[in-house]
Amino acid sequence: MAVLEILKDMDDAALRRTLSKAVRGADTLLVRGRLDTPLEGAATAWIKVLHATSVPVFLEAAGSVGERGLALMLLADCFDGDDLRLVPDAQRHPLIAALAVHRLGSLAARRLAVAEDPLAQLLALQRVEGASAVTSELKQAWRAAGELPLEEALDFASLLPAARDHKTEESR
Amino acid sequence: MADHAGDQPVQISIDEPLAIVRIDRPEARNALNREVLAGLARAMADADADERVRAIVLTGGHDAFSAGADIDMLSGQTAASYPESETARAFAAIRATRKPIVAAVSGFCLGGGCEIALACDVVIASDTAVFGQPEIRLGIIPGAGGTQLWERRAGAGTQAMAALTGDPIGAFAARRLGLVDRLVPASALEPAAADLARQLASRAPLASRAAKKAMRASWTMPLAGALDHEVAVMAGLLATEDAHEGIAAFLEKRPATFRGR
Repeated sequence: MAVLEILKDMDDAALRRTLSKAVRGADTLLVRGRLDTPLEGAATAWIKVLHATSVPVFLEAAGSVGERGLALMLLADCFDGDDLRLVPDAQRHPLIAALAVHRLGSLAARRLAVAEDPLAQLLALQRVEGASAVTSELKQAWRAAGELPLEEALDFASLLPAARDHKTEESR
Repeated sequence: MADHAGDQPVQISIDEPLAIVRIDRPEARNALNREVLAGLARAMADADADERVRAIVLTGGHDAFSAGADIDMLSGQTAASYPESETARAFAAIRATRKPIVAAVSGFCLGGGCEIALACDVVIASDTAVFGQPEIRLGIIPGAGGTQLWERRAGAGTQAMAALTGDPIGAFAARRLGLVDRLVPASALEPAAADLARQLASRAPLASRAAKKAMRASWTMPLAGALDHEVAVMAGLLATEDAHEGIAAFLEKRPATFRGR
């Protein structure tokens, strides 16, 4: 497992570089560290890196969660954390809005934006304890489903090794 | 035709009715030097001439289809030498291949590598593929079709962004734009490309070549001329045994057997 520690002064460009390097060749990625940083335009670069990777990503959240932390919570395949405190209005950033629709769906994204306790809402929706169920192949299938028309996504998913192995086992 | 194997940077193998042509220079991300380009031109010509072959799969490695032209090779060119260079001749030979070609692209497909892929008839890519024409960042332009072939697949805007920014695009964006015809997991790329190539190879071979010729006519003539050309090519096919066989098989509700005559 590769581990990425987000340091206090790590700007978006540095985070993008570090993430790009971390996901190369990794089986899984654990992200932890400072989560209270605001999001700026340059953040789209590292968000896209995490969106595109087929490496399962786990987030260990702790302490103050700002816009960057919220984005990471939405992008991670699973996260865990206790005693989290949301920076006020972090859930109302436009990048969070876009990510939330993509990860949670339209309705849930709207609920998140206006919730009295957005963190609790997100934790209820997203919290997954234990991470072994998320595989690279699942991520590939999820991404295909998000990016391709359904027929093409199904064709893509049917070619993943797990789908082929399952077919082979059934025919025995 | 013997299979080319061993330490050649371009390898060709025959799995009848397919020829599989592979760029194999992984230490340089399949960068295109004189040897690779000459090897590609030779492999395509051999596959075109081989009666066992009805369709071609052109592929590279897992991490790179081809990262583009070897910069050392480019830096030696001049304004006078480039139009007659091995580079220009090799790309012309690839584009002149009469049989259908399926490009199977994984990893980096940049510069000259992208131009090779887009000169093929169908492009199947893995979800790890990255396409781009970075030449403008070197103070040059794509010189083997990269200012023309994107537009034919994906439109003028995509062509302009590719040639003028030099920015790469990922596999899913390439699929949405129509640059790529099908997306598959990386592990399934070559079997998927081979399956499609076999499908193409199962069609009447004379008709396949004629269809490709008719499609490419628009590269050299206006629409009216290309339409007239299509009529002439179609008329020629009607005299073939394959056309008689295809029509008879349809009427008799049986599979056709095409012999390429």
